[in-house]
Amino acid sequence: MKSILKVGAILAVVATLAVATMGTALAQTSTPPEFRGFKGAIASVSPNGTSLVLTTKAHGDVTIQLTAQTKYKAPGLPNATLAVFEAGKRAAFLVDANGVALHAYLIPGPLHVQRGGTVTVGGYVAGTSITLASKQGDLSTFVITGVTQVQFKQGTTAVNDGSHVLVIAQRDPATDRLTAKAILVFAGSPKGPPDGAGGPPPPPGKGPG
Amino acid sequence: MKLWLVVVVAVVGAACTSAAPAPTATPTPTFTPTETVTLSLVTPTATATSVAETPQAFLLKVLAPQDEAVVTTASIQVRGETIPSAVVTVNGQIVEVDADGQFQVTLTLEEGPNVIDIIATDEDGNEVAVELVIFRAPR
Repeated sequence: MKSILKVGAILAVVATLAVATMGTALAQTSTPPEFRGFKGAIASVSPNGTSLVLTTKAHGDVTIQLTAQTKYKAPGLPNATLAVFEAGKRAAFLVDANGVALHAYLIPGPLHVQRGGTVTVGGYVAGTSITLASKQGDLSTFVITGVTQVQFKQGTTAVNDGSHVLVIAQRDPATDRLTAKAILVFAGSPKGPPDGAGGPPPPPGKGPG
Repeated sequence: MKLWLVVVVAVVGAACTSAAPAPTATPTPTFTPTETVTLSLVTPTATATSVAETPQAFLLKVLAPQDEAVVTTASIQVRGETIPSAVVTVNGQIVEVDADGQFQVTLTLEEGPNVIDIIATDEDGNEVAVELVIFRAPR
């Protein structure tokens, strides 16, 4: 009986050591995340196109490896290639554990625009366009298409000169053209610009002189 | 015979419990919505300030997801907070803001980087925008 207990104890010690070693090994070989994402501004692209340096806020300068398998995407450019990923432009990359980019995406500034203001005099042409003056006096013109929705809020029933509206639009990165997806019309008017600063321009033919 | 087997099992079991590595290294990319992005302004040209400094400020707080998160899911829920009267769009889609100023919407993700534009506008025409990039990794 004593000998059986001895053998059992030895086996227990051996098993304990084996498990402990295995646990340590597992802890030491913890794999890094399989994929990582980076966004930032392109600092440089290597002459042979096999890598680029991205300046990021979170990680500083990061070297991204590029291969023939890297997929390039740029809004407004259906067949984007590395050629459009120029220094100074903003981009995002999904890379694998070796730093090789699987996906490259050019960020062409905001694609979605939401702007409030008052409709300038003659600035609304149903089905065609709408021009707003922001409270700072900046003018923005939006194209109206057949799918543009006009929503009347707070008892409003029409878009008139001086109407308080909010336009939700999409920006075409290739042309910078703003296409209205929705026009929300509100009662009253937003807090206007300071006296003499901006505001709807006078109607044609009614200017000074 | 039975006794030493019991001893071995007991000791090995205890060893497994104590020697097993803590589950800190997770190979599957996940995101944790621990970081919030808060922007607030009094005028459209003002820089971001804390809510405490400008109690009347118009704010947009994105609660989830975290910017630059890597996920493997095909969709993601965007949650945030603003003033109740604000108009909020997420990638150009108007989302409902409840009486507490909370909003949420679920977006479909493509593999690779996905840009999410969140914009809030108040009734004075002030606008606050947050841009997130979420990475969907292959499974």
